[in-house]
Amino acid sequence: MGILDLVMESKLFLIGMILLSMITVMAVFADFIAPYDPIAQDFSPKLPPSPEHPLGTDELGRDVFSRLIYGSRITLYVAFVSVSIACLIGIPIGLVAGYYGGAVDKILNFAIDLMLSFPAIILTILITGMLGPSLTNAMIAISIAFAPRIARIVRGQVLSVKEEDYVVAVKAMGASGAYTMARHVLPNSIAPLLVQVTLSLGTAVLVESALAFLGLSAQPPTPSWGDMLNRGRRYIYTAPWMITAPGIMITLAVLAFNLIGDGLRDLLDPRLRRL
Amino acid sequence: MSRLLEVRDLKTYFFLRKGVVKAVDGVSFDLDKGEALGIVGESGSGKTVTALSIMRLVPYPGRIVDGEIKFKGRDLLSLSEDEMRKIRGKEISMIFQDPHNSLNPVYNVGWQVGEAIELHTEGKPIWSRILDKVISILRGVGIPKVEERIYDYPHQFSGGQKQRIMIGMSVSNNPDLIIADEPTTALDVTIQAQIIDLLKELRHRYGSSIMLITHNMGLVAELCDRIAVMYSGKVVEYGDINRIFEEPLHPYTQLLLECIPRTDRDVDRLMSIPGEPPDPISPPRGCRFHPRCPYAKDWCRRDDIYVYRDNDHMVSCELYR
Repeated sequence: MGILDLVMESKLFLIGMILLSMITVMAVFADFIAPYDPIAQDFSPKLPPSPEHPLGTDELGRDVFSRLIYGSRITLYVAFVSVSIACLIGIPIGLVAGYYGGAVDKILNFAIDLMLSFPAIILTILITGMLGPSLTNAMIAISIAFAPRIARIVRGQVLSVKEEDYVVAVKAMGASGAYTMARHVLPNSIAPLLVQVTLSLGTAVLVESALAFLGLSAQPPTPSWGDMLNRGRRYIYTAPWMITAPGIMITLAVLAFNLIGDGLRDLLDPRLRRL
Repeated sequence: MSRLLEVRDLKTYFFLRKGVVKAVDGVSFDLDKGEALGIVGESGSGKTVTALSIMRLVPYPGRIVDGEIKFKGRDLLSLSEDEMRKIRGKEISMIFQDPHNSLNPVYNVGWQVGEAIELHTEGKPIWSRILDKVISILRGVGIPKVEERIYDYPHQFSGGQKQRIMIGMSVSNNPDLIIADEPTTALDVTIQAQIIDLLKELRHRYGSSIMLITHNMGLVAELCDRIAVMYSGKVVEYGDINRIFEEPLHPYTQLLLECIPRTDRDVDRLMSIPGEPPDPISPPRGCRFHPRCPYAKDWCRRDDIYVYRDNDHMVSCELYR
């Protein structure tokens, strides 16, 4: 069975992919999809949903639907950039710790444990609190919170892969440690990493929304789902559409990444691959 | 013949929490240019660790504690890691036990053989030239339809073919010494003979010396000029192959040779050596074989076991004092 058949068979993975594609299209083509300017306060405040404003307007008279569309940009941008940075930090640390072992591993592992003892959300609030609330600082905070999680996964994989005969064989052919790590150990450690990265993207969406909700991420008037949620909270009885729409979007985005992550875990598991 | 490799009193210990495992404990042997040496012994006798010590690839927590490894007059143990890396794969190459696991599953076979060449190419590698060399090497080890098959991945080859590819990689830089660590253990008996024939042929073609590590006396007889019998980290008998096969002196060697099933004698049962290999952390005092030895006497427990030498032949046994 080819990989495509397996993808087609994994319904949840497909649903996740479709959801993510929809959000991505929203973000990329926001300028064409959104009917109004997301920061223009052109309308009466708190208009209920109607044909002109499918999701109503917020307390400052901005179109909620347009803000929702543009908000997907921030969400995806933060998720991808901060998880990428987390990988750039975490992968080398995990590789070095797992590959060299001994004292290096003990020190790095201790640092990883220390970081992991804080829940991601607490750590990011702490860091943005110190650095000051802004989009860049939120991304830095999320990267720092996720790097040890990536490092831990890589380290675990490297510990098992480095014992493989082909790694010893490459060293016996005269390859250096760095070459062996990059060319042979890392490509064979990638599968669980890919799953972890995808699941991390979902968590990053959630954490970013939480930070925005607390006013620690992108600053107004930039449209962001977390910030919309925070604003809607005050009008939950008088204008429930303000909080419902971003809430559903955050849920869908996190769900998309989690479905893809779970699907990948199944697809990459050779035991489930009936050839 | 000139000396290629001289191993003197090599000691490689593994420092575990439970104690020190003396995997290789005072091993000495020589290997001349173009010669083939067989290292024979049971599992855990220190054969592989000896080989890894020569490559300086002893895994943690193992360490070469003492001894001297002279290769082409240079002391390998005093070289820097960078200098050692230039020797690995270029002057000394190694073939591993399990061909199913010795090739990286994520790269095609041509790339991996090319990598073995590229790692020892000075300056910028020219891939078209390397590709030509890869094809000629793989053809030389008997891979059919090489031009197509170099783009195949390891799992698309049979075990025997994979071992041929590994052997091809090991000769790709014309090494002076090939260390073959049980190259046929993971293969079918019918393939075993082919692999040994291939090694024999390549030995003549490239003039490399071979160090064959095995527990199969038959393979040693096929390929080797000299033999070192190891038991519990020590060489108990060492010498010319014909001499040892005709007249083994050490009781362990005698028993090993008797264990080879023979068709010219009528026996009902396979021979085996009674007893267990010694505990590696606290081996018996004196001769480590004495608990299993049929000729054991009280004095076999003494620390200085008699070493009998006759020219190149060496036996460490009290029987010959």
